[in-house]
Amino acid sequence: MQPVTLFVNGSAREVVVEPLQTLLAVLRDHLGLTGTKEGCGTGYCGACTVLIDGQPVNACLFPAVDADRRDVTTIEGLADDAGMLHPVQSAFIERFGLQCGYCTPGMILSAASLLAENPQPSDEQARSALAGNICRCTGYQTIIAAVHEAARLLREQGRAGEAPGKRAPIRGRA
Amino acid sequence: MQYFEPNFVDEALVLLDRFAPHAHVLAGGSLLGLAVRTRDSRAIADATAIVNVKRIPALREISFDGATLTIGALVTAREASMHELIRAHAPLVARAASSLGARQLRTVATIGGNLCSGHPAADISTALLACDARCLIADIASGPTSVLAVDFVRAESDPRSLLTAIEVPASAARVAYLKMQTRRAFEMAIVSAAVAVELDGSTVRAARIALGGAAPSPVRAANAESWLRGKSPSGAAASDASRLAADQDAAPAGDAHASAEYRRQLVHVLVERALHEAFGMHDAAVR
Repeated sequence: MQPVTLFVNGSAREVVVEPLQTLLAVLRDHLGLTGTKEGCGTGYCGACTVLIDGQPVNACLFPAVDADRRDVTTIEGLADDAGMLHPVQSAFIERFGLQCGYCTPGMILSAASLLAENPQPSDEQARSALAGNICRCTGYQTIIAAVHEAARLLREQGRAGEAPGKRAPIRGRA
Repeated sequence: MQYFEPNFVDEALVLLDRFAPHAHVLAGGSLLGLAVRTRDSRAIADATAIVNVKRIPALREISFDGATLTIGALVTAREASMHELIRAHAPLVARAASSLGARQLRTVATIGGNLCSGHPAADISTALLACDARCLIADIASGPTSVLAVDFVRAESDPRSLLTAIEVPASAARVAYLKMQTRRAFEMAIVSAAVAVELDGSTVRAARIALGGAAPSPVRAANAESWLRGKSPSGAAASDASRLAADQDAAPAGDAHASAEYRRQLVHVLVERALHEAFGMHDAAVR
């Protein structure tokens, strides 16, 4: 068993994990953060996408030990402290970029990560960034429309290029 | 099962030696994670130790000395697709890396893991073959050694050794990387073709062609390469060379994804198109 400190949505969380335990299991089962969904469990569907130091990963394959002293952003960490939704979240609602919602947390985190490094993506760039997030309910048109709407909202609010979620005051090791 | 996070290559080698052949190296983690999730018993049932090499900074280094680009084994596909030195001196590797899987996978998948995956169509491995890349291997018994990537991907790896870096010789070759997938987003290639062509005026001085998904491991298309040497870069040359690659160099097996015949046909088409691209031809008819 291995002690690990995760900076989840800005808060240090100490957990003890098995060497090959997944970040998904730790988030959901140890920390009760069930916003991160398990879909295929094999790294294809992207429902479990979270951000590690701002970069998207599939939590279902990511070893929890490798999240030690790093920032983990989950869907619970996107809204601000007053409960105001992140522009990407608002845009998915506004453009109805979902039906059942199971893939949505992963979609939103992938989109938020994209917009942090590319505030005005083309259609192709948006589709490429979300290629690892599968939705089985709807088409992808409204999802892509939501990404563009989110980009517009972020620019309008002067938040273009802003890193999504909260970071721990002490940065983790590389 | 014991778990270790060595900080130095030597430390990792001691651990691999001590637990061999029951130690597993943990790098990016996507392959090992998948093995655990899918309960692939061969991969982990006999493991008594996990050696997580991600705390070894030396394995992440990227450097260029004017003649050789050295890429640490832990460099991720994402880094390989964006790093200035790799884009400048190994553009084929950068292209293959940017085409690998989906964004989430590129965050974690490493070059070393790609070479060790044993997958016949591993993207970065196929590109490295066409670069004449060498694998640097650390071994506690015999010291550091190096082996051509084309031989590394074919051989069974020694459980006591650690792949530390990849050396790519500088080259002014014109390159192309193409692949066929059932889904563009994240499926492995059915067949891929990595091509590097060095032109000398109006003749081909050297051509390096690597094929993914056309044999049990990524391979070089030696017959097509030697046929191209000294030819002028034309559509006819691309057509004949790609036919040779498909008929003589590829040795595909059929599986659930594609029949052997279909793979051979893909080798023909992809090598031809890749050569067109490397030759700088922009014939709409072949697009």
